[in-house]
Amino acid sequence: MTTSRNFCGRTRREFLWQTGAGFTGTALAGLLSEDGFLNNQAVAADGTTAWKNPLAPKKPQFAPKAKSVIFLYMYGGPSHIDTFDYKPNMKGMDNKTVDVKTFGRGGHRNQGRIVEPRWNFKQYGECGKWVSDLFPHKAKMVDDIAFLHSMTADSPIHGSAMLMMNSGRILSGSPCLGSWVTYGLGSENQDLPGFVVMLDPRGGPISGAKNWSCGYMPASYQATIMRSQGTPILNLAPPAGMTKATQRKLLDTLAQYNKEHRNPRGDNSDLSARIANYELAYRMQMSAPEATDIEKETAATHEMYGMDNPTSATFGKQCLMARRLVERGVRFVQIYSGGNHNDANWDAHGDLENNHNLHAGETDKPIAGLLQDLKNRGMLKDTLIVWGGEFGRQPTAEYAKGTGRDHNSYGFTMWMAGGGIKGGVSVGTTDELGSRAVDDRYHVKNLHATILNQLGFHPEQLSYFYDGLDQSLVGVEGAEPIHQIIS
Amino acid sequence: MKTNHHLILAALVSVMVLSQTVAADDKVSQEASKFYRDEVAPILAQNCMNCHGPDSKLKGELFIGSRAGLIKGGESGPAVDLENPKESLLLSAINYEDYEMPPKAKLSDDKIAILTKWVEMGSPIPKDEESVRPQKKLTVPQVNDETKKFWAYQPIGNPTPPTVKNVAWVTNSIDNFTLARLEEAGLAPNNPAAKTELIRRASYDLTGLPPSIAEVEAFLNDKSQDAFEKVIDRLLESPQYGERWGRHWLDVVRFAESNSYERDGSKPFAWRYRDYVIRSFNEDKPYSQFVKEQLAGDEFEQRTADSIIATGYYRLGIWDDEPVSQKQALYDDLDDIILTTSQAFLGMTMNCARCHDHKIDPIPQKDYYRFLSFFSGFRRYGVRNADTVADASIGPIAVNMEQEERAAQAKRNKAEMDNLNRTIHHVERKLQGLLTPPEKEDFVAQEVRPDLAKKYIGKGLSKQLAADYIAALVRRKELNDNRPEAIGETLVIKEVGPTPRDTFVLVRGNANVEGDKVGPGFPSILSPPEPKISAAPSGKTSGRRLALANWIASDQNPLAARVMVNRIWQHHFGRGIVRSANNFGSIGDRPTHPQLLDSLATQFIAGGWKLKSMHKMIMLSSTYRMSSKGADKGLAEDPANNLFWRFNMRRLSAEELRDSMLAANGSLNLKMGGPSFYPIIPKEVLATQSRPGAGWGNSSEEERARRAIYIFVKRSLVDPLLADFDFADVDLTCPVRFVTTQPTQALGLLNSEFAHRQAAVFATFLRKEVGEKSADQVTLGLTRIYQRPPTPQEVQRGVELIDSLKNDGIADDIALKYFCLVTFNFNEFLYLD
Repeated sequence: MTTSRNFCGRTRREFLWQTGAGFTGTALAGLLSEDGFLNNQAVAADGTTAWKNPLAPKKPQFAPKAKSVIFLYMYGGPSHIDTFDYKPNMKGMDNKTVDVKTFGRGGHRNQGRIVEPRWNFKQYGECGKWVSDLFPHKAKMVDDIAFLHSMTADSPIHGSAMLMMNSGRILSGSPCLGSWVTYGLGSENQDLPGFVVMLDPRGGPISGAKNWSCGYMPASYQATIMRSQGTPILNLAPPAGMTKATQRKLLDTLAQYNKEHRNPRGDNSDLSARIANYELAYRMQMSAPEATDIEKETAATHEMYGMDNPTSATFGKQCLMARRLVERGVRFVQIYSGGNHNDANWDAHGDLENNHNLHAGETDKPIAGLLQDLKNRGMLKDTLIVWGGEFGRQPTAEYAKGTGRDHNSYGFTMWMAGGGIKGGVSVGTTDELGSRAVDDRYHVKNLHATILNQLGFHPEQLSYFYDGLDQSLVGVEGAEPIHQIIS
Repeated sequence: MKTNHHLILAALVSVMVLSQTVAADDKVSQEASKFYRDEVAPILAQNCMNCHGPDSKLKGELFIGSRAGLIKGGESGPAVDLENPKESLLLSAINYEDYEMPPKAKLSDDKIAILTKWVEMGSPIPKDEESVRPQKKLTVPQVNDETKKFWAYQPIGNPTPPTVKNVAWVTNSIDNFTLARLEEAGLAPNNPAAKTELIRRASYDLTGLPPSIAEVEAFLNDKSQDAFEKVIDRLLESPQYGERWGRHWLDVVRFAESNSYERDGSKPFAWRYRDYVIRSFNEDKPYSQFVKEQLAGDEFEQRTADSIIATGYYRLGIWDDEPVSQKQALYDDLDDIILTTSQAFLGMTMNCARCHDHKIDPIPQKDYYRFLSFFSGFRRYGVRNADTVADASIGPIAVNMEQEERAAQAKRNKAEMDNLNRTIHHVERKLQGLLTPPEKEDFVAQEVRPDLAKKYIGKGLSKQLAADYIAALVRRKELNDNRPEAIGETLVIKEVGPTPRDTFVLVRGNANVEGDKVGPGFPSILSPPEPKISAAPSGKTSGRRLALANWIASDQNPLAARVMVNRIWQHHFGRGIVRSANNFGSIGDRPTHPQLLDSLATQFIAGGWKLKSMHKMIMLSSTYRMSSKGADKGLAEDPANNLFWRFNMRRLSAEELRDSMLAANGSLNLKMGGPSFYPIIPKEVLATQSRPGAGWGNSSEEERARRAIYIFVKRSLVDPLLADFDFADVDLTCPVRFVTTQPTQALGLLNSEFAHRQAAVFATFLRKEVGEKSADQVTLGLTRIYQRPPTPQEVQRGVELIDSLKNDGIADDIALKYFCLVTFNFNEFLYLD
């Protein structure tokens, strides 16, 4: 990542390359260190490079609109025409066979049997947004939301599509969004992880950890999984039986041994960093439980997040935890609605109504509560909320009988709110069946570009040198932010 | 293929008409001018110019600001076809036929009609409306005499070791090279490391394990001149050497035992490849042979078990069993092989030339596809399910021996398998009749079948039948995953047959847009010979890979030996002479000691490409034996230690750390080879899987005490201790591991079940060895952690801790355990001087 990357239109690396002969290795390392390039693998392991906290807060390239991101990941792929993409003309078309090109796990098809949207739509807010009965609470927040109805992705298959949504590529091995954000911005709060993922208690999403992997970046940028039950972070508390006082005693003795070892080796900053890390870990043991302790919140707040209802209690708690984390400087929080397989997430291949009623019921009030709460606290303007799954669903039935819909990456809906995003707007359209995006089509990469833009980065310039290339989240082709929704 | 057709046709046409365009431009009629200005230009300005106009990045190299630009076209060929305007690429693109332009939304019908009319008119643009094509900002390096002079492409020299002033310091020629540079810079080399430091350094470097107390004592007591040489010889002969150095190689070839993606299914027999690597290092197999076996062992005249197993190299990568496009997936897989092969063996980033000429190095796109052509008979790892994997990627190891015995075993195995299959098929037929359509879709995945069966107990399936079925599935998986050795199957490469697919340059890397046809060829920047390809003796493959292997593993190319000796140096000194070990190109780092690198490469080749003699030479040098201590002048003038004035400290790798904990507490199991084991992964981590616990086995305690190289490498589930301590990301080749310092490491070593379990084992071990006296326990504990005798003060501090814990009412054995836990967290335990 560089702040002033252009030398007569060349990237800094190109500049270095072109003038390469004049630079010794040291000069090169010196220059690049300003850019954070010291995270380059080539110098990572030489044992002499000065230790630098990779998560120290960094300034973005320009004044950011958002300080942090909460990504509400609707795993499995919610149906857009049953939620926010109103298709009144489909009324009365149920079971009618139509010519429509679709591509899902069932392969390519040219024809299908219409499954009419199963919920009624009503208009809400000043903007008059049509929202289905699945989301009575969220519907009240439409004036704060920008809907993207024309999203497209490269794959209609969960495995690769999820990698696309999380890392920008359908091939496994690249860092995901949260890693890019913490790489670019560091963390405001060193006592907490910079990048947090919360999972559905029914299980992780398919491909598990690949969805929050830091890929070719160092482990400093990997996600920390936070649980809503029990100890929030793995290894955060000592096993049963060890008191805080005992642990303190062990740490004090450890520090004595380690300092004695370090003193004749003062030039190796890694050794000091490791000593300091034990203190940081010790503080984390207190700050992380504090940050996630929602008992400190009022009953009214609990109710606002739907925590009074067993159906929405878990997701509500996670949303509330997310707010508390963001409040304390955590950069990127991703919460999964849905886990495991099939109907344990939004992947409604069988009974659409049961499936979506369940998952909407679990998340509607918590999400509305999160938006409202952030707004009340004046935090929404700095917090970018992203909602959506890896793709949407088809207008037609997957099987001869039933209401199940197959995957659809040709067109689907996502929304964003807060963090400098316009409220009450809807951008892009799908065709009259919602089978594909037709106007103002946007790709997942545009969504990623928008997120980076709101955080203060030129999307193509937040780069990381790997494999002979300045890699970026939006890829070599680059992508424009979605200007239509940026206020 | 329509685009391709356009490309060829239109290219011909454009040559014919290019000379007429100027004349045509001049004659743009008034009506045409008006039409362009009023109707066409606004559409272009609004929808196209952002990417293809005068102030754009010129996506796809297409410029539409001038008529000449349209005729010249971009990477996919001319945009307009003057002879046959209706066939113009521009029109097919705006109609969303091949390309979809503009990408944001299809133009309205009336706009399409306007552009169609305009193209049919011959795409007239009035002169004053034309803009200037933006200049390309960076010219792509060409293959020419100038670029061939780059150091890495030059033949390997055999430089004479420079003369030095301090002759007494020199042990061998390595020291001439390093000392000459130090003297030039006015720096003095550090003093030799203490013997205790040296034996620890050497043991970890060669085996990844600490020396035993007895080994340290023997070395300290050996006052002979060649005491250290004896240590090196012993370590090089120990089987743990292959485990340590094999692991470095596994990083480079992105070794893993699962496929990633939704199922992240396991790769059968991947462990055989791992064992092959370990064996090869232990046998001191010539590196040239090691290269050839992996790339083309199946195409040898004399095939051996190892030459077959080695080709598992091709099967280690990620595999999408449900790709969006099978064709694109084939080229993605081939790209993975090209990336790994060119970087691992040649230090070249060939993969950067997949979509266009390499922007930094002189590697034309054509060279990429000529390189790809060596592999163009390649069959993908599988198509969808396990049967297709078996068909495409699993083959017999046995070449010509023991056939009968193997056949008998296979027969017994097959009989059991047939029985299991009968049960399974019987139940599955029944079950299929009961399932709902979505469940049928899920049924494709083996792992959901038991759950589906359970669901129908009492609803069409009897409890007994379901139980038999599930048991049969488990047994069948066991047989499939771990077939008895005698059957001898392994992961192998297979090709489509003796005649490979044709290879084309793919325009912009798009599998569906074929450009020129090409044949196999080595990177042209190296001025290589033409490949000599002979039919493969097996008759099953093209023989092309052997031609590639023979060239790579020869002294004809200047890179293979340099790249490998650099890796050897890297793992002794913590950094390569070329720091970017996988990239010897322009944007990679320059060698800090180019002459030393060449000298080592020359000796490597002369010595028959053998590693062990190289290790010995390097380790006997004074350069290697220096202390790692800081020195004022060196720290001030060469803080990065570019000149090797001292030895670099290093932290243990994740595997070394785990192995060392087990070595310290006496539980390390040195059993070698065979299927991988599964350490206990905390249930919180298993909960991150979509099916918690799926694909993770249960190993005995004895198995779990084996070395970390034998841990099952599952792409989506990495042991948290390994992950925290910078285990390589296994999706892509990893030349240099990170060394991060982060709080999760501290939390893991202080609080994890694993650390506490090992601390408890350590405590039990100490009590058993020296009894109940704290001072004795602490002394032995520290000695095993440090591999040196502790100072009285260090012992005293440990005893005080234990006493103080006991004073708090903590039981004796727990207090000792806590002390043991602290020792695992010592910097001195994790860092080597």
